[in-house]
Amino acid sequence: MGLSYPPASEYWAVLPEMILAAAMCIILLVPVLPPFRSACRRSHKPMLIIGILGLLGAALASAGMLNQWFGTELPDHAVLGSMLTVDRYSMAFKIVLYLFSMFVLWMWGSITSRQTRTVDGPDYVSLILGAVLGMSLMASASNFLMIFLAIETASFPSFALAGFHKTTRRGSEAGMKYVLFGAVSSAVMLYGLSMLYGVCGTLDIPTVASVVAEQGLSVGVIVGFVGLLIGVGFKLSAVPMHFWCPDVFEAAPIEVTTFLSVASKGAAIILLGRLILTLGFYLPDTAEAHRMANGIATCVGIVGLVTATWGNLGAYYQENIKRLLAYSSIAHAGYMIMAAGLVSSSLGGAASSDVAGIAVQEPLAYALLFYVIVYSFMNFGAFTIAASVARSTGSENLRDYAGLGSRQPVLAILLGCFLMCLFGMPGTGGFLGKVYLGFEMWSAGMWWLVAGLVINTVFSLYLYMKPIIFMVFTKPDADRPAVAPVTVVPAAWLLMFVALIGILATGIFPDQVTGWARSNAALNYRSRPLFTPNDNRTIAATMMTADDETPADDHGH
Amino acid sequence: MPIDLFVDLLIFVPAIGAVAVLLPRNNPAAVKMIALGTAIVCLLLNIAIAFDYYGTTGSYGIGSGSVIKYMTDLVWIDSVNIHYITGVDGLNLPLLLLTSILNVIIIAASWNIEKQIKGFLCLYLLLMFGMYGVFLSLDFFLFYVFFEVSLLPMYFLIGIWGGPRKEYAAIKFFLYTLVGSICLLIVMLGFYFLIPKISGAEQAVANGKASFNMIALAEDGGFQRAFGQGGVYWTHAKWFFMLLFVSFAIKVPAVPFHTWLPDAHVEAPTPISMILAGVLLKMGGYALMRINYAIFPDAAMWAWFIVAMFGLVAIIYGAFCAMAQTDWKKLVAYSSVSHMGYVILGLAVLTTAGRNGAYFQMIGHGISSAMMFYLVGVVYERAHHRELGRFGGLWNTMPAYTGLAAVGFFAGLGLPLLCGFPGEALSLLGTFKASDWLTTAPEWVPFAGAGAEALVITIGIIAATGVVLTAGYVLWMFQRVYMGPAKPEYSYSGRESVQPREYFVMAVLAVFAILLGVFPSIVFSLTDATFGAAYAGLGDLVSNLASLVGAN
Repeated sequence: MGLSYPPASEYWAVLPEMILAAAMCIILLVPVLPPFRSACRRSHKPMLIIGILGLLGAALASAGMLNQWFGTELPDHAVLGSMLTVDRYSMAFKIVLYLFSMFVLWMWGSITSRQTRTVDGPDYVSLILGAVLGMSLMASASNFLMIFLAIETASFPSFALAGFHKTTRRGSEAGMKYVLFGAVSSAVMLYGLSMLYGVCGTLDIPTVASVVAEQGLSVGVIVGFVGLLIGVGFKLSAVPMHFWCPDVFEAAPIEVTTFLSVASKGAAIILLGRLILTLGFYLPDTAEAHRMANGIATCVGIVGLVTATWGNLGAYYQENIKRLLAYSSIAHAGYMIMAAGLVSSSLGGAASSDVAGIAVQEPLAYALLFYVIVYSFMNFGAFTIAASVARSTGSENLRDYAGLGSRQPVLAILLGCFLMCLFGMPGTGGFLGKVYLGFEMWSAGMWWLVAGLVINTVFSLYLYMKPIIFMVFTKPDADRPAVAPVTVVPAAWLLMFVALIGILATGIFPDQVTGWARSNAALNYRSRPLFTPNDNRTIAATMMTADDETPADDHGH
Repeated sequence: MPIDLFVDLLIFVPAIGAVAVLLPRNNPAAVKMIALGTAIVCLLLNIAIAFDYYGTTGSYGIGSGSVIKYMTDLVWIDSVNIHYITGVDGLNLPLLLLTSILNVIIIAASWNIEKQIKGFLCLYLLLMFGMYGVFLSLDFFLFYVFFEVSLLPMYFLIGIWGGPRKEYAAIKFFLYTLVGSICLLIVMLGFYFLIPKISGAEQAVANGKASFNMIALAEDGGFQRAFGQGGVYWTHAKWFFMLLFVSFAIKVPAVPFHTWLPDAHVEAPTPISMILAGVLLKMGGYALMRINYAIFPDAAMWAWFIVAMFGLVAIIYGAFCAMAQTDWKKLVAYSSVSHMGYVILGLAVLTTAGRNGAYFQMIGHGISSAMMFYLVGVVYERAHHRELGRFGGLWNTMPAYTGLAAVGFFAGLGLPLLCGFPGEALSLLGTFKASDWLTTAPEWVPFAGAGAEALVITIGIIAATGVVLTAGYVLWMFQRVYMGPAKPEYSYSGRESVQPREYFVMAVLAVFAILLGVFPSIVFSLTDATFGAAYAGLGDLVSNLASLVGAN
């Protein structure tokens, strides 16, 4: 076993992550420097601006790398010791992630009460940035070890964020619950990874995929994958790892809920999609491989279906808007998981293309990317409104939404739009997102998943009508204390407007967004591990790199 | 091409009106005038289209020389090949006219609503947008979008302005129709994947992607072969036909998918009941004709018996339910179930007479049911109850109103020379005539062969008893409400007496009920060419309507 260092030129591929890390350091250092200390005590604004600039810079850097503004192509193989794949698929998600997180910070800066902002400003912004860093590594991870590290990097700040209401009992409880669930699922995942390593002798994802393609699914590989799925499923709140989700979402500050519901689940689904697509890519196009693909798609599909159904039905009795939206996010994660297991969509790619590893367009990746984009808009809109109402009334209970339709008609109509988009009403992006997922399921021959998707859409109607029923039909309870009138700050209107444009642009005139998602749904499967395994089971890996003209010291022995 | 433009204006003028009614502040009169103006503009546009369209003949296709005029075809969502396609033919024009006329009348009928009139009219105009969109769109996907768009306003109109159990009724309506549109969605997914694989489908495939153009699908020989009997997708065609049928049978509604309807009608305010019975139910019948019967003719022949049974059960079961009701409005609601059964039966038997009967029944029922609901509403507004047992003697206390009521209810009863009769008569006639094609039909058609005659006669006779049952419940209701000694509590004078505006609504509807009853050919002159072209080869080929209409 040997080790060598990656060439310096590969470091630029993680430019967005480096910008984020730099912004985090600045945020943590600046408030303790004497010249800035008093300014930072007075206002949260400097921290907020640094955070927003960091995310914006990262988004610009990603966009620049994607569009070759810097004159260099994206790397054609996994970089930094084959730990990270920087391809169009991951870059496209990162842009969405950074912009979304930027809006979350903006929402926090403009809507949350002043007290928490000033005292905990630096902590909050740096935690968000840290979690974003982990999520963006999740989207790129090309090695199982990297997946573990990325998930932990994303999780630890999330634990702290979930318990951010540290003075309340509920906040601490939520943070604790999240930590415990996270720790257990991490442990299981680590166990699964060790099994995988034992069987395959490597943790490089493409190499593992080619080994599995060669040897078939052994018990060790299955245990490894199940462990891995538990780790990813925890981030996705897939049933049965979903129990933390409603409680954490309810107790966490509303911007944290917004952030976790979209960013964390989006990153996990992008990761799962990459895993499944890579596996399919290296499987040969044989009947046996098709059986294996179908088996995996069925198992993952069942998990997704149960998750979606659980989310939709569990929401029926919820009276807290955040809990309701938490169940909604479980359901949406379920829809995405249902599609993310379709190994067959990339099946036989390695065999059919002679240059294995040049970016491959994947329709499934396209469907997932588009769904994540739409989902980030609609969830952001709904949560912004919930935050605005909570800011004025101090309540997240749906009963206090009674009569909102006549008190704040515009706000009520907007919330209605976002809920209908989440429901999947035609004319909104939510509908097209589901349609594209359905296309993928159908073309993989999984008609029962399509049926499950549409039946779940019917189930979900009541979930999304419930707030509307309260806003429009219900009279305020006489025995509940009257709530303060809802006033909306200008920044909140602006954010809602952005989200509204988003759902309409993805629903009524979707060609721009779909075109962008389609052209960026290209994955790169080529790896170039620094650690070469010392046993002979990974011939495929050496075969893959044999035609490379890179200097031998890159491969150290 | 002003008329081309009129067709698209018809869809978007209500949407503009819906925004415009939101503008005036604290001025209900202005809001009402804007809404009424919008409806009148739409009616005028529609009349202009009808006059320009009158006399068009041709084939049922996308090219020139087609019965479909004023076709607009714009690319909407390129990635899935979804187009914005609208056009007018004999299939949608009479229903559009019905919609336009009812819209004006219904806005007049909602003049005295005081609760949030602005919101009411805004939602109503959005509903108009959805209704025109459903009838005018010729792209399957666009149709689906409008089908759903018309759902939401209806949900709020029932849910906010409805009776005591309005929320229950509204969500039930929404859920039922949603299940239907989900079935539609599955068929669309199927089209998306299956059509590009068909060899020789020229119109149905564009750039390697499936076209959702409903006319192209009906016209395309390759598509028809693949989805026809013995084609590669024959099994799919049968599934798709049944899924689509369920979807539209919920809307029509056919027993056993009808249970949303009595709840929705009983809870809905009067104007909304009128539009629900008058137009929204017809969306189901229209879609059956436009999609099921035009695109899947072979599957329609395969399914004729099942569909006919749905129609038959609806006719008889609806009539018995109506007879059992003690709530006046519920009685009228169940009569809708029964009457729409004739639409399904008329379509199922695949004869020219049956098809014409089904179509005329939709128009006639649009007028008569709207009128019946209004007649109930006029009394309910004054008496504040609808219990049939407590009424009596209205003829003595409200003679002029009762005169108009007689027209409305007898039109519903199906009295000759009123709008309820030609539809029922032609449906039944078409049922009896189904033996013409069934005896010579290929053997894969259920009950084809010599025994068909006895079967269709049995079906026809059972269906005809529905006419008797209808007469029974309408006359019994009429007797309980209008006959008998005058009751002082139902004597209204001064501000409580029936207003000129209400007489106007009833009178206009009565005029149309008589007009359509005496001259049913008004409808057939518009539909004849289209039906002949769209359903050529489906069932019998009798297209000499003059003899059929003359038989009335």
